[in-house]
Amino acid sequence: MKKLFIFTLTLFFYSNIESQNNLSFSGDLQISGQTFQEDSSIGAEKREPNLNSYLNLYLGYKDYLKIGTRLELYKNPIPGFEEYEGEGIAHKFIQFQKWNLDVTIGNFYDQFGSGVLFRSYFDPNLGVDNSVNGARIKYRLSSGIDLMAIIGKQRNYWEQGEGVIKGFDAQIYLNDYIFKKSETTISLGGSFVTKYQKDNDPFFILPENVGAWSGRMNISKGRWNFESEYAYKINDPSFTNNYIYKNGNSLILSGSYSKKGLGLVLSGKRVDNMNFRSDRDATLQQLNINFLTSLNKQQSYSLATIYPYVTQPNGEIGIQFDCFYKIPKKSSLGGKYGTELNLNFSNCFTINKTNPSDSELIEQPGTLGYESNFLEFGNDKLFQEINIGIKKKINKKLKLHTTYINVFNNDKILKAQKVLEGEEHEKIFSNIFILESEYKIKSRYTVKSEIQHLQTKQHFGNWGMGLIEANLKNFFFSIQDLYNYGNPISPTHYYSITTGFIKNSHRVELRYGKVRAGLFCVGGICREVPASNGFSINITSSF
Amino acid sequence: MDLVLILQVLFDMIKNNIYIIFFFLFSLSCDKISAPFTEGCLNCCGDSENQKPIKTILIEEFTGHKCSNCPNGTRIIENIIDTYCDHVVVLACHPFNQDFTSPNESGPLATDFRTTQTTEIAEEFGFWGFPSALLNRINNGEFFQPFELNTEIHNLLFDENNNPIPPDLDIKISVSSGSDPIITSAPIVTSIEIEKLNELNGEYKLAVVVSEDFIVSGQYDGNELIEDYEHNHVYRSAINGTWGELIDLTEKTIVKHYDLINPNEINDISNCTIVAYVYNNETNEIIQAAKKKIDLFEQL
Repeated sequence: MKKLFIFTLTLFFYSNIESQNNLSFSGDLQISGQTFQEDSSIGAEKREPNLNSYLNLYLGYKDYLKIGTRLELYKNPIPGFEEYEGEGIAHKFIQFQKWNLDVTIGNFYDQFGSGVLFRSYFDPNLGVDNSVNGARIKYRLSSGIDLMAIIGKQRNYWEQGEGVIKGFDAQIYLNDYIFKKSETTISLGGSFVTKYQKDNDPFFILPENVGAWSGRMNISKGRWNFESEYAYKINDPSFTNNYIYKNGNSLILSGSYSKKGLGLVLSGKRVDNMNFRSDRDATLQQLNINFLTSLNKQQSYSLATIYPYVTQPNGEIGIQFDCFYKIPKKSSLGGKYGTELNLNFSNCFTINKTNPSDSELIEQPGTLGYESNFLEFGNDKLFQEINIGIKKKINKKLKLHTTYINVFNNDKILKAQKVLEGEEHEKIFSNIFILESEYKIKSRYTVKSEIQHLQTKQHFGNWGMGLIEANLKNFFFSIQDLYNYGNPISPTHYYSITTGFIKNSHRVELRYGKVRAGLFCVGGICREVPASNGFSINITSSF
Repeated sequence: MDLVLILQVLFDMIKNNIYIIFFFLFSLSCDKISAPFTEGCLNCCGDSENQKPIKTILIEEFTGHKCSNCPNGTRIIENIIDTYCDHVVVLACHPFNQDFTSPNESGPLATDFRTTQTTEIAEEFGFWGFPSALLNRINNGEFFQPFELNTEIHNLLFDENNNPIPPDLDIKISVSSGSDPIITSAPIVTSIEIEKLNELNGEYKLAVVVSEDFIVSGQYDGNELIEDYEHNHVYRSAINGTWGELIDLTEKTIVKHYDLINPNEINDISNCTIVAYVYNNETNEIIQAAKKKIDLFEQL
């Protein structure tokens, strides 16, 4: 692979002499650094300053050949990222695209359908990089039929996972063949993925080849759209499912209606034993082959991110309803500019699990694990969230956005939150109130403020938050304080000051302040963030 | 040769063989396993009563009664005991300074299993979380996840041809009552006899520990609080200190005697076991372990 990469590079530069006009060069860069000083008031430890950075470089020849690489550097990474310590080429590929054919050799990111069987992606903030190093072929067989096949091993920090994954996906747009004149469009898709890992265990009889398949359908007509995907995985005993041999399955259904000023989405999912990794002993964010879609609102307000929901691949069932409505302009309720309303409701329960036999415990290693009635909910609600938002433009300069969020987080079961010494995980009920305002001084000069309050009788008690942010053309500046005034041990401030500069696609940010310990989540995938106090710098640039 | 020509040849090769490539990738297979899902390990179950000494390893299982995943780790270790029997000695360690081990003031989780010795061991070897285990303190005290133990244990006990690896030492433990065995407050004398079987270089230490079985107390198991969970192999106290004492292996046989005064932490002395192990003072690796259940009536 390395030789092929060098060979292609040589060809590129040879070609470069003859035809420089056919070459294109692009890339992007991120540099993040932070200092850590001891702060006993928030439990922050003193650590050596860290530096996380990467540089993507892409070289293209005409429109059909592209090579790329990513250099990464991690110096003194924070807990949870320790295994990334070091530097080197973490990603490299050669891609050819011509004649309905797309061939990639090297590292690549992609997904089949919603990702329930296969999704590889890069999220440096979460510490996720499960790129596949191998080969990918995409081929448009004819109009409306797309095929994709993959083979390779996944990235595991600076090494590769032990397992080999192979996959095949087909997507067919039926209207290209039948129902050509129909207003209803239908597409069907199917995927098959296997992983191979040798069985070296002297005790368990482990499947060396674990296969999974899925089928999906998308129907849309006018303002209506319906999507579904069902996936099935055969016995896959692993650390995350406690070495049980039960088959896994997952169903996602989603229906939506949209027209100008109104959008409705109702979704539901059920996941049963669908953790799928290319190494059966992998943990945390290591070597995930698939991605289980999160069905709850992705929060960005700081207090609304304190009690996030962590996707439960071993079993969950839930729904989400999202409604957007804009009260028309110049109506009595809408006012001069109209008023935007948003309602979001989501919940998640455990799935029903019963003993596979009288002599075996639920999830006992080396057994089928459990039986589950597909339509029956488990006994415990894991999470529920109600979001109500109103956005109102008062005049040409002032916009207001108010939000109420009611959260139930069953940390007694999820056990995702840090607890105080001697305390136990508990069910957390909280109410969050947010008022955000944005005042436009003139073009590209705005001042934004946020006031947030989180009320709860559990865990660390009540929080308040105040933020003032000014965007002055290319400069930005903000002051924020999160105040955990209900903390049962001692009220704690988490203040921070941020300033920075944005020019075209370049951004520099400097920050000083305290960061609370907690979970950082994107789409239900979470990682723990330790408390810290110090300076940080973030630089992003693309060219 | 022009780059475009090379690429065209390459593309033609791929395009002409695209169905073969997809067929190759589509030749995906699955292994469906039917019960039983475990396989027996022939001759894995050692017999300590046999005259011939067998190699015995120590698993220091780090666990906590509020750790909901820990019973799964314990079940894996119980499977290991079923497989390797007398080849394995287990100590369940409940260190201080951990949310998962702290006792409640009352209720089913009020039992305090914590010991300063297990805390010192955790700190010395860089304990990172529950459930995990030290296996003979190999790799300078690496904490393994329970599912990683099986393969490592097999490699410690058996060679490439699956023949048992002989021990370097034999440890024999005997327990006798200093006076009246019925009076449990009377000192119990533990004698440890170490016989050297192979020449050994370096410094070695002997550590002697008391563990206790059948303690009924609360334990989180998954989402459930089991109020009458049976805690076994619980590390209760160190007879000769957390790190034991140096032994002189220039002699072929060494005998040590220790008085065991019923310590306060122990619920029931008749459920206790004496565990002894010898380790290399430089590498920390345990080279042999042994256990002996305290049976007061055996002394009558």
